[in-house]
Parts: sequence; C-alpha cells; structure tokens
Amino acid sequence: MSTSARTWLYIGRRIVSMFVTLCLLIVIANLVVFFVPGGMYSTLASNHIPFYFSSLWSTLWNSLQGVLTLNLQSSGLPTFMVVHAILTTFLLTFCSLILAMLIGIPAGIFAALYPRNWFSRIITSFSVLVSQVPPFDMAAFLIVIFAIWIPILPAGGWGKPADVVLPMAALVLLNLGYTTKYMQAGLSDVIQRGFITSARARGLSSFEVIVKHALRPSLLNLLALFGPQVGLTAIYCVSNELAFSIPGVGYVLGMKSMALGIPDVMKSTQQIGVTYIATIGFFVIILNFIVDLAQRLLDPRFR
Amino acid sequence: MLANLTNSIYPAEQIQMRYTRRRMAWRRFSHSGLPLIGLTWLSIIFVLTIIGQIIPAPTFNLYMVNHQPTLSHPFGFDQNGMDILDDTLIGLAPTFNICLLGTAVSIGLGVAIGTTAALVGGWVDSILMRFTELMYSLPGALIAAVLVADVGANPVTIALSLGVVFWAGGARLVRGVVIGIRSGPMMESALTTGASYWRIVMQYVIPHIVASLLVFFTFQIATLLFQQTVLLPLIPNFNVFGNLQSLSLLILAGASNVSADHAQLWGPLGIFMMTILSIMWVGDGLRAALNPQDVRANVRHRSLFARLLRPGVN
Repeated sequence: MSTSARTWLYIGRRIVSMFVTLCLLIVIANLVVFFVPGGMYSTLASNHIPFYFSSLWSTLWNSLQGVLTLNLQSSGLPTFMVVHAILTTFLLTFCSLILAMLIGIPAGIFAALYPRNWFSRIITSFSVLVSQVPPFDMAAFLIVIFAIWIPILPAGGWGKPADVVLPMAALVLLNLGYTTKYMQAGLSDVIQRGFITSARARGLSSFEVIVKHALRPSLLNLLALFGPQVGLTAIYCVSNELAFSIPGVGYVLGMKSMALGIPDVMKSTQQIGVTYIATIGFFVIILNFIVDLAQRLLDPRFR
Repeated sequence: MLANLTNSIYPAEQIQMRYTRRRMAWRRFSHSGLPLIGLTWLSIIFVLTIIGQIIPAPTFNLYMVNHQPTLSHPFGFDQNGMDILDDTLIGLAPTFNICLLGTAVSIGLGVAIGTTAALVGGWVDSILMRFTELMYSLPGALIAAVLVADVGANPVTIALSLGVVFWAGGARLVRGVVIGIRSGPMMESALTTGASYWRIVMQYVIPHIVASLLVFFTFQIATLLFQQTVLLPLIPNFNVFGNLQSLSLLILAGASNVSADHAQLWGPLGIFMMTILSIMWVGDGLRAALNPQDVRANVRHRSLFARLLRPGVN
C-alpha cells in the first residue's frame, strides 16, 4: 500500500476512534460528576439510591444526545453563547500554546547549542521558574504589575485587542518552561549522535545541520507531551478566564469558584459539569489528533 | 580518547578505569556548577524538613495577625496569627512526601504502559494510547477526588490516587522514546542474543529513557503540588484550627490575598520554586553524568565556579 493511502486509512481510523473516545469521555464525565465528593451521590443519594441511579442514566443519555448534536439547551444556556464561549477558550488555549512554542523552541535551541553560555543557563532557569508559578498566582501577579503598578493594560474584560494580552501572557508563561526545557534536552541529546557528525562532515552549514537534521528528532519529546499539556492549559485557561472576566467556557457555564483551575463541579449542576468536562476533553482530543499527524509526518518510524 | 581510557582487558587497569570513569562522571555532573547549588539546596531542604518534624506547633500570637515580616519571624504572620515560617517548615514533609510518592507511582505506571505500547505494538498499542488520551482529556484532580473519597482520605491515598491519575504524559513520552530505539541496531542485537522481554526493558530500554524522565520528574513534582491542593481538604479534621500545614495550601492562601498583602506569599513560594529549580539543575547534571556520549565535556575546561570549588584539576 502506498504511503499516502496508509496515511488516509490512519486518519479514518483515528476519526472513528475519536468519536468512541468522546462517547466514553461523556460517560466518564457523568460518573465523575455524580460520584465526586459533594456531588449528587454524597449529598442526596444516601436515602434514595435507586432513584438517583436512574436519574444518572437519564442525564447520561441526555448529555450524550446534547453534546453530539451540539444542542446544549439542557445546560440552560442558548447554544450560540456556549459555542462562542467554546471558541474563545479554544482561541486562548491554542494561540497560547503556539506562541509558547514560537518563543520556547528558539530559546531551547540556543540553550542546547551553547550549553556553557551563562545567558542560555539563565534562559532555561528563568523559563522553568516562571512556568512553575502556580496558575492561580500568575494572573494575580500580572494584574498587580501591569494593571495596578504600571497601568498600561486592562485588568479584565473582553472585546478590545488589548484585553487579550494579559490572559495570553499568563498562559504563554505557564507553557514556556515545558517547551524550552524539552527542546533543550532533546536537542542536546540529538546533536551528539553520529548522523549529525556525518552531516557536518559532508560540509553542511551549521544552520542546515540544525534545521534539516537535528530539529526533527529533537521535537519528538516535545510533541509527545503536547497532548497532556493541552489538557492542563485548557484547565488553567478556565481559571484565567475567571481572573480576567473573559466570557469563555468556565465563565459562561457559571463556574463561580475555582481552586487551581479545577472546576468546582460540586457546586454546579450535573449537566453543566458534564458539558464542561466534555468540552475540554474534546479540545484535547482534536488537538492531539493534529499533533499525532504531525508526529507521523516528522518521524517516519511512527508509520 | 575516552574509549581508550575506559576500556581495558587487565583487571588492575579495570579498577583504575572504573575510578577514572566515576571521576569523569562526577566532573560532567559538577561541570556547570548549577547542579552543585541544587544539591546544596536540596540537602538544606532535607535538614529543614527534619527540623519541621521536631517543631511541636507553630508560633501563635493573636496580636500579630497579618503582621509584616520581622527579623525573628522572617516570613511574617498569616490572618490567623500563625507564624508562616513554622507553618512552612511543618508543611514541608507531608507536601514533598505526597509529591515524591505520587511522582514515583505515575512514572512507574507511565514507564510500564509506554514501554508495553511501544514494544508490543499493533492493537495493544492503539488501545493503550486511546486509553491514555482519555486519561489526560479528563480533569485528573476530579477523578483523584472520587478515588480519595472512596478509599478514605489520608496523605498516602492522596499520593497514590494522584499517581494513578497523572501518568498519561509519562506514558506518551516513554512510548515516543522507545519507538525511536525499537527498530535500531541495538534492539536487533538484543533480539539476536535471545534477550527476554524483561531483560530488554531493564537493560536496553530503561537507560535510554532516564534522560527524558529526569526532565519529566521536575515538571511532575510541580504539577502534583498544584493538584494536591484540591484533595487535602478531604482529609477528616484537616485544617480545623486554621493553620495551613501544607506548602501547597500556604501558597494558595498567600495568593488569595496577594493584592492586599503579598509578603505572606514570598516565603512559601520562594522555597517551593527554589526546590523545583534545584531538582531541575540536579537533573541536568545527572543527564550529563549518565550520558556516555558526551565526550566533549571531558576536554573542555571547567567553569570558573567549579575551578574555584576544587582547584588543581584542569
């Protein structure tokens, strides 16, 4: 079979399995929201277990239908609002990941090529340090610095171009350490391999050696962790939306209180919690599909 | 040159070579100086953790509520009049125990699942990878909360459930690395010598994934520190007297009133971030020390810091 036919077969198989994963995700989301401490099971079900289990099945069926037909009426919100919120969160998550890569990958390349330069050590340490600031601190820091001490940017809101800067910066800084560190670790391993030496021996310039030969294999670790990172970023994005009052998923679905970017589904209704979890999961699945395709294209060994 | 230095057929020379190899590994480790700073800080933290276990109770003074840091109380007081330095010291042990145990569990699961998926391949691979995908598309802390509520909350169950939930990144990382080496000449030689599956994993695969896992370890510790904040309040009688004896809860509490009084945040946050940086530096040093391919480190001059620390060589 030719390579392109196999790739198309792979894409088809992945789309089918994405559908199955989404259905499983909704089922698990229902179970989690039902059984989470403070949820329906622990607060109400102690007396009427059969009744609440039947309600679990009906909610499960409703949410499967609702999410798959994009009919989110049961969450009590107009569909266009939910779709707009999903698009906002998607934009923030995706663009921040891309930006973090655009900044982090060159920084990582520099740090790997000049490991004994003090500047590269400072870059790596600083980016890891910044990304280890807990997500609930980052928004507060940025607001205090850039909206109160130096009042140049709005502390919240959505609609003007300037509103995007602070939430995006918070998400980019959270992902910066991961991109820089994995790029640096991957590239500094790859440039010691034999095929780099042979590429240099054939007289390629340093730029060609790095871009054509070393970059591809060193991106693999970064891409492998991209999927889990999307999940974390989407969850942190929701806590950022609350801090900056952006009408994204968490804000519109009414997640009033957040600790650490983990949705307080205990205080909202079952349907809203399930919609939230399914939405975030859906992001992750789609982005992960794109990344797996990229991984196949980058490394022939994955085929 | 390194090959001549580390290989010999004579026993007496072999002993000498082993000594040289160890010294070279140490030199690769300490070359940049930063791993030494990291080791120093980690040992300081170890001592502080033991001191924190000896402290009977945090200093409590109702007249010092929200007091600014002073010389005798360098981290200040929180809104209940507790000394934050004492709280931090007492909270070091449970926090890092949960982080380390949870990270160990998640790395173990990740290595097991990732290696199996990559080495077995086929439908086992695709099923395991779809399962991994499902795991990280769900908010992990919620599942961990369900698990913890089911088996009863204490630090050990919190660590285990966090480890059981957050293995997906490790599994994908390990799978990627193992797929890279599974079709190389090394694996071919392993198969021709008739190595068993277990031997292939332990002798051929694990040494190759250690370098990536060291980076993963750093980030995983920080992630588990954030995520355990949600689970700690599930412990019965936790935080009854208002003292937050956990590093992660102290950081959260400091952040919640950062706009009013940010002095309460810097102490716990600084200790945590310095620890994470030290783990990263030590991991970098270990990667350099374990990496036998890094020949260049032996011919370069040592850094200024390392030369000041141990003069005489190079």
